[in-house]
Order: sequence, then C-alpha cells, then structure tokens
Amino acid sequence: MKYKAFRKCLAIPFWLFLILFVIFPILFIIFYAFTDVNGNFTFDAFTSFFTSPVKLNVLLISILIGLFNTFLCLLIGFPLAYILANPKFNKNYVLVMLFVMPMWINFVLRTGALRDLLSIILNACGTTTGEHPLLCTMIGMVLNYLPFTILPLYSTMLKLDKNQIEAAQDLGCNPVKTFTKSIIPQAMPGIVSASMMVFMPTISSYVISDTLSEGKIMLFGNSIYLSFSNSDWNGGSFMSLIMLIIIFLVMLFTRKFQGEKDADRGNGSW
Amino acid sequence: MVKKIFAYSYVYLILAILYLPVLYLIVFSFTDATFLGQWQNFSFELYSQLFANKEIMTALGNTLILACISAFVSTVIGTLGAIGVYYCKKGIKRLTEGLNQIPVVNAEIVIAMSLTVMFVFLGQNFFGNNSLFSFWTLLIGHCCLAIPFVYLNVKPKLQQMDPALYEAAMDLGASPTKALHKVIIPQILPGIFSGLLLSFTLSLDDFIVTAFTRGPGLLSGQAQIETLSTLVQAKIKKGAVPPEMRALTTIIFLIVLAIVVIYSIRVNMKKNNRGRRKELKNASR
Amino acid sequence: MEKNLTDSSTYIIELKNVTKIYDDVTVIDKMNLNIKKGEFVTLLGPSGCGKSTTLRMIAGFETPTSGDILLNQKDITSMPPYQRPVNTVFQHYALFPNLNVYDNVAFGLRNKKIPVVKLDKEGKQILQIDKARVKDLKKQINRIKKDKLLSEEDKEQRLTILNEKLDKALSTPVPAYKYKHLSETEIDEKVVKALSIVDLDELEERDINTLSGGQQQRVAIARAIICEPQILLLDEPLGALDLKMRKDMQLELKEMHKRLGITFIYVTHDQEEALTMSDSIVVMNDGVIQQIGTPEEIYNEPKNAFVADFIGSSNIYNATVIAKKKVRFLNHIFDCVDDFEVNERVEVVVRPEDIRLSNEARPDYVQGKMVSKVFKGIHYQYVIMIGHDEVLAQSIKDYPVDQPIYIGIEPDGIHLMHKSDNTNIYTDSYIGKDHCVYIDDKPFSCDLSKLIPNSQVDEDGIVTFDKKQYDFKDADVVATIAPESFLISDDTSDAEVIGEVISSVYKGDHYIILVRSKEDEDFFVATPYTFNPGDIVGLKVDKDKIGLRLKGSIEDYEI
Repeated sequence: MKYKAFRKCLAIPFWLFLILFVIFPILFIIFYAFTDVNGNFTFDAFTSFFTSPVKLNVLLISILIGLFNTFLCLLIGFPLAYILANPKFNKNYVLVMLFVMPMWINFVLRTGALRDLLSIILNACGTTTGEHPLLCTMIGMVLNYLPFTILPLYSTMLKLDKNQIEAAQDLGCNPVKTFTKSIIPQAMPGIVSASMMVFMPTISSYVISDTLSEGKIMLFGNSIYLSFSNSDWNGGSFMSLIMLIIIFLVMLFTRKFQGEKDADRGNGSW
Repeated sequence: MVKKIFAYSYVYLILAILYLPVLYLIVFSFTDATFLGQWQNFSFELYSQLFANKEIMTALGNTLILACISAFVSTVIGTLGAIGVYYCKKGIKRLTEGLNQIPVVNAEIVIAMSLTVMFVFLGQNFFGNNSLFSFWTLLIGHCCLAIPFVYLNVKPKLQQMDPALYEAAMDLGASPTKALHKVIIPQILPGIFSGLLLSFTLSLDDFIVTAFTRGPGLLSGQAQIETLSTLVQAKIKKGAVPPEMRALTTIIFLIVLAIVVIYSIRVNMKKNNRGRRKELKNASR
Repeated sequence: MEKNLTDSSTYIIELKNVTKIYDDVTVIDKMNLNIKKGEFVTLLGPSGCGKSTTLRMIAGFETPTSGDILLNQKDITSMPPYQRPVNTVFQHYALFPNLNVYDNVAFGLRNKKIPVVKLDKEGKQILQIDKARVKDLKKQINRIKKDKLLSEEDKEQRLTILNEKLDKALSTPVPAYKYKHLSETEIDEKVVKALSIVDLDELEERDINTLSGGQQQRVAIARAIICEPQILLLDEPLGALDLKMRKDMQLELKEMHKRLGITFIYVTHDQEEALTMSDSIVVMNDGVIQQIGTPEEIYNEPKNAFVADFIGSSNIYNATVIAKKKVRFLNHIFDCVDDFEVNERVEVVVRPEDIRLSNEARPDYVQGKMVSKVFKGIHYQYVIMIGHDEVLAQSIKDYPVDQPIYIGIEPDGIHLMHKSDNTNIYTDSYIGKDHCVYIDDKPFSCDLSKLIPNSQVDEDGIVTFDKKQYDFKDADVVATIAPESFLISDDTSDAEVIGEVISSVYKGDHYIILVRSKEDEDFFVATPYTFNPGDIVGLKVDKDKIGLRLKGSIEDYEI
C-alpha cells in the first residue's frame, strides 16, 4: 500500500548517508591500507607498521595508557556514582548535572586551561610540565574522561536492586563481600560501558596527549594525525584499520557483558 | 553522619578538581594581565579585547553557523530515518541499526581519517585533481558524528508511541504527510529535541573531524575554516591560552550555567506540580 | 453469499473473493461478504481468525492479496484509508495524546474538504477531465495486473472493462470542483454536537490523559462519528473496560447505532457481546466464514460444531441418523425434527436449557448420574454423566448431587449438523498436568504451541508468545485430528487408544474406518489397508498432527 511505502521512504536520506559516509569511507580505508601512492596493490603499509619498533611501541603505550586511564576513571568514578545514585546522600539530579557541565565548555579550551594551570603549579614546585609528560597527560585524561565514566555508572546504580544488597548483608556478608558479591555484579553493564567510553577514545585521542605532554608522548591517535599532516594516506589508513579492528575486538569482547549498550551510550552525554 | 560528611567531601573535592582549570580561566578573565597566573588589577579589558579580536570572532561565528546547520541537517535526516526504519521489517531494521552503531562505537579519528581518504580519492580521480575540502565536507563530517545519536534519541520515543496513532490519523482523513507532522512528530518531539541539542554540542566540541575535513569557506573566506577548537588548538600549541579566550570561557560558562539553572528549576517545578496534583486528588477524595 | 439474489444496491460494502496472505500464511481465504446499509454487523471469532484483518481491509490499512472490496458498488480496493468514507474506533482508542478532547474530536473535520462547483467568470460550470477518476482507474488496472491469484482469462476480461472506462473518463469532461475546508464555526458546531451525543459536553478542554477509560472510549467514538462516515468500524472497542462499564456501553452503542443510522461493523471475540448488539453476526474461523445469520439463527441453528461450540455453552455429540427423524447419541435413540439421510454421521447440538431433568424414570428419558451443581442466581447449572459423556444442563429446580437422574430432550431441542468432513473434532478435551491433551480421558501428547499462533513452548509446557507466558494446565480445548493423521495397527501394545472397528468404507484409494473405543468415542481413520468390523486395533497419532483450539479467553491462562 502506498502510504506504507511512503513512511519507509522517509528513511532513504538516512540510508544514503550511512552508505555514502559510513560504509564507503571504511571501504576506502581498506583500499588505501593495501595500496601504494600510485594505487597499486601492496603490503608496504602492513610490513612497515609491523617491522617498525617505534610504531609498535606507540600501539603498546597507547593500550597501556588506555587501560591505566580506564582503571583510574573507574576507581574515582565508581564511588562517586554510588554516592550520587544513593538516595541517602543525594536526591538531586542537579549534582549529577554539575559533573556533566564542564563537557559543554570547549574541550580544547579546557585542555589548554589545564595545561596552563599545571605549568603554574609545577613552576611553583620548581619544575616544568615538559619534565613530567606522563603525569600531565594522565591528569588530563582522567579529568576529561571522568564525566563519561560517571554517567553510565550512575544510571546502572540507580537500578541497583536494594533488596539484593540487603539480602547479602542479611546473609552475613561483610561490607567488602557485599560489595564484591552483590554491587559489582549488578553494576557490571555500567562498568563495561563506562570502560568502553574511556578506553577507546583514550587510545585514539590526539589533543590531550599532544598538548599536555608537549608532543613527548605519542598515542595511536597522534600517529594517525601525524600521517594526516604528512598526507601519508596509505600509512594513516592502515593505522585506522588497525584501530577499527581493535574496536571490533573490544566490542565483541564486551558484548557478553552488555545488555543495553546503545541506551547508555545514546543518552550518555546527558 | 560521618559517612555522609565523608561522602560529600569526596564528591565536592572531585567537582572542585574538575572545575579548577575552567575556574582559573574565569578568575583571570577579570584582569588585564596577559601573562600566565598574573593578577594586575580588576578590569573588563579582556572582554572588550575579545569582541575586537577578529580572529576569535570569525572562529566563533564559524563554530556557531556550523553547529546550527549540522545540528539541523542531522536532526532532520536522523529523525526521518528513525521513523522510516521503525516501520520497516525486522531484517532491514536490524541491519540499519547495526550500520548506525558503527559511527557510535568508532573512534573519532578513524571516522575523520576515513572521510578524508574518501574525499582525497574522489577529488583526485573524479574532480580533476581539485580539492573537495570545503564547508560541505566539514558539514558531512559533523553530520557523521551526530546522525547516529539523533537516531538513538528518537527511536525509544517511537517505541513508546501507540502504533495505531498513525493509522488513526489517516483513518480520519489525514494524508501521510499530514499524519506525520500532526501526530507522529508531536509524539516524538522530546526525542527530536534532545537529539538536536546533542548534535549541536557534538559539533561545538569537535576538533578532530573538523581538523581533517575542513576546507576554505564560511566566514574565513578563502582561508581554511577555523572553528573555536582548531583556533584554540593552534594557539595552545605555541603557548598559553590566549587572554581573550578567558573572557570567552566565562561567557560560555555563564550561558551553560543559565541553561542548567533553568533546567533544574523546571524539573523542580514539575515535581512540585505533581505533588500538588496528588494533594488535590487526595483532598477531593 | 446466499443473499446474492437480492438487489445488490442494498449492500453498502461487498467483499468479493478476498484473500489476504501475509508471509505465505493465508489469513483470509476467498472471503465473500455483503453487508447491508444501516446494519449492525458483528465479526465474531477466536483470536487469529482473521476478523481484525477483514476490518483493516475495509478501513484501508491492508490491501487484499486478491479480490475486490466494493463500497456502494464502487471499487475501493486500492483507495488509501484517508480517502475512504469509513472511520474506525480503535481497540485501545488511539487518541492523540498531544491534543485535548476538542481537538481530538475536531481532527477529522479539519482534514475534511467539501467540494464546491467551480465556475468561470460568467458563472458557468467549468468542464474538465476528471483527474481523480483517471488516477483511480489507473490504480485499479495496476492492481489487477499484479494480482497473482487471478486467472489469465479473468484478468483480461477485467482489464478490458477497466480500459474502456479509462478511455471514457479521458474523453468526457465533467464539471470541475474545487475543495474547501470547513470553517471553524462549522467545525465548532459539529464538535459540540458529537460530544453531546457521547455525553461529554463539559470536557472539551480536558487533556486526554486525565480522562477515565470510559471517557476516552467516548472521545474515540465521537472522533469517529463526527465525519458522518458511511460505515463505522469498531475493533474490539470495549475490551479495555471493566465488566459493568462494558454492559452499559453495549447498550449505548446499540442506541447510538439506531440514532445515527449508519452501518456499524463490530469486531469481537465475545459471543455474548455479539448476541446482544448485532443485527447479524458473521462467525469466522481460520480465515473462513463459518456462518452468517441473525443472533437467533446463529444460536438456535448453528451450521457446524465450531459455531455451536463458540456461541453459548452447548452439548455437542457425534451421532448417527438411524431412521427417519431418529438419531442415536448418548447411547439412546432420540426423536428429532431435522430430516437427514439415514445412516449419516452427524453432530448434534443440545443447549443446556433444552435438557429436561427428572428424579424418576420416564419413557424416553436416559439415566445418568448427577456430578456437580452450581447455583447461578436464576437457575442451577448441572453436570450429568451418561456413560462417558458429559451433559450440561440447566434447571430452576434443585436436584441432589451424586444421585441418579433422568434426562430427556424434546425433538425441537436437538439440532442436527452435517459433518463437514470426516475430521475428528473433540469438543470436550482438556490439557492435563502432563501437557498432554486428554481426548475422551485418554492422554495424547500434543504440541501446546498450537494454541497460540507463532508461539513457543518449553519443556515445562509453558507457552510463550509476545513476551507473555501461558500455562494451559486444565484448560478446556477443542482437539481436531484429520483421519489420515492416525496410525492404525493390529498391535495394541503401544497404542494411545484401543478400539473396535465398527465400519469400513472404501473411498477409491483408501478406507475410512470407524473405530469405537471402549469408552464409546468414535474415531474416523483413513488407511490404505483393510480392517474388518470387529477387529481390535490400536491407534496412535503424531503430536504435531493434533490441532488444538482454546475454549474461553486466553487471558485466564496468562502467568
């Protein structure tokens, strides 16, 4: 029937957009990753990536920093989300909004401000930001990604089954055991989606490491950016492909833990 | 009680650290000292400098224009897409949702790189070696970021809607387009609105995609389009945050604060209203 | 169907050979239905019988896979819903939550356009080709071309007629119309009137969400009748109301039908509702019309066991006509009025109120045992066992339980029905705790998911459908088994039923054998092998081959 076709037709621009600007670009990445400047098929990018200790190092360091940042954000964010979601302490959504509010200020500007602030503090201690690139980068990463951790954790914490926690206490669990046996498993979907929202952007981040380490720490994002500035499309495409594969693997891995990932992520920024 | 104090101090400590860099900029926006961490005397000098600074004003204008256009385009495409897909068969629905999920989980830099590579290729091979990079490529880049989120915001609102409403409208003589804007759109309006707001902020905040896909255009004329992000990034690569930016930060902060305050007042009012309605109901019984 | 001989101009809507196939499942099978102007017609049947699909095709939400729908003799098969002069009251009302009561009711009027004759400067009518008609004819031609179920001959014939019509429409100009919206004052007048018809005068400004279910129902009705449709379609509109409200609304709807004089087509699965309200009832099952008739005809003269069983509580037995106007069932020979062929296997229906009870033996009364008694207010409802047959009876007199009782049936209380085929239909089966269906108190393993189309069943016998779970333990069901589904053998060791062969009829390539179990239940079995009367045989049946249908409402079994 005609009107039924009409409403499906509404999605045509959407489908076209997805095909033209999501699918096609990925195909181009794959194409460029295995061709040379003249468009001939080659494994050059592949071999030069996997034989270069520098590039492999960058990948390894990125993953390590990503894991470390995820760990720190969860460590700080978990109790925070627990307090915010616990009606004993907080009944007001406004406090949660306060944690999200910095996200509305331009993130490059925030990073610059943090760098300036850190350099004032470090100068007062008789040293400079340039001498502590890792420390500065980590502070920047945690401050930037903490709000992204808090939101998904907060929304799962709101749904915590209070009865189950009480039952655990009632059955003789001490607070530590209650926490590990009842709260953590219940909050698992939130933990997983929070980790996802920190780990992957950290690996591929550019501005934070570039600004705060003053170019001394190269992350995977920085290398991709570098090949972009050098117009090295083939090398850049190959690294993007590696990134895509990592994302795909992580998604596959986390799928087991997650039920409502899109809901969390879709509304994550709110 | 001790627990409570402990919890509160933890929350406020983290909040303070989160806000410290921004507060630092705000505080030092009210002095005319241009050097880092220096305080000379209280003045609004930086504010007048901000509005006189052509570079920043151009970037600000670009950013706002781009954010408005990309938010509008993304919201239209994403919303219509969500409606269309909602009425499709399961297989197509699942496939589309899978596709939609790609940019959501993908790293921004990969999205940026893939688009750039495609534009380079098309420019080289189909447009006589001309660069395609312009406002349009930038717009596509920003829409790529936003459309999937618009879709995800509108979809749940459609699922909450009574599926018979569309049929009811048509049964009462409304043409499909009329049924759409008289019945469906009002039902999913909250989702569309939050999608719009999200696309707007995604565009405002973006650096990577902008840096990759921009070309000449907008207020920058023949030069590369500068947005706030790219401008600030270029500046802080060379030194401290430019003094005028402190003033801009204060203004942005105040606007955001105003929005949050209005929002929380509205939430509280709704709560109170609900309470009052309940009271009335109880009283009438 | 049967009334085709009368002048067709009295029909407001005609369905001709309508078939609807969804994903290879035939939902409506070659349906023919004519509905008279001004009638209150009810489509009645169990869920999944195709009644809602029929309604949706009339409303225009679905297009038939094949066949035509005529409204006042005009083909509207491919007309979109927003152009049909038909309005619907939806099951869950489907009121627009963003509009208040007034705007909901006014919605249809605001879309309505009134044709006004177009005049040129001198005040003469402008003549032009009727574009709408041309478009409509082209659509019809297209539809006929795409119809796969139509024979080539029919196709050709109909296409020629349509093409002729199209040529005529293209060559003869007709007066042109322009279309005008109604003015706000006209709309206001009509809304006020519609709201007063449904007794909602004071609520114009109210938000939809603040109304009670009954009030929402009224708004939905007002909204549908305001455009003065030629037909009002009602899709189980009272389903969401509580019992008392439903009874009131039934009467009110009936009253409204009289007052408005428009045709009502009402869909329900509630037989009582159908009997109370309708001028005529269309009983449907499996996409096929079982019977069309007035409530009295449907109740008193059901055409087959399905109708008899679905409408009201009734006793249905397999019986044999043994002589002219004599029929044997309940191990007894009764006189009857229906004149059927001697030796024909038939089914009889006896309504509980037609069963006479007596404490002492009388001629032509059958002895049974009173098993249970329930007080129903005006009368008692009894269950009496005669042999292995259960008899449902009603009486205002009080009889003791667990005592012998005698029953008699007047000849006009016995209604004979032809058996449509030899399919074995067991109307008093039930589901046991072991998830088997008990036919004549013998367990048969069966597939419980057959009770709800497209559902799943787990090992615990819990049926899941649409996220809801059902436990059908102790549910009364109707089981059907096709004769060819039985496996028959001399070996009785692992048989589900053991019985004696009563008769064997050769049907060209197979025998139809009647097997009577010790409990006096009859099974028709098709087999290529010969069995002789008097043989003791065992019967088995594959669990997928047992058709099941639930008696009563599915909601009772939801868990």
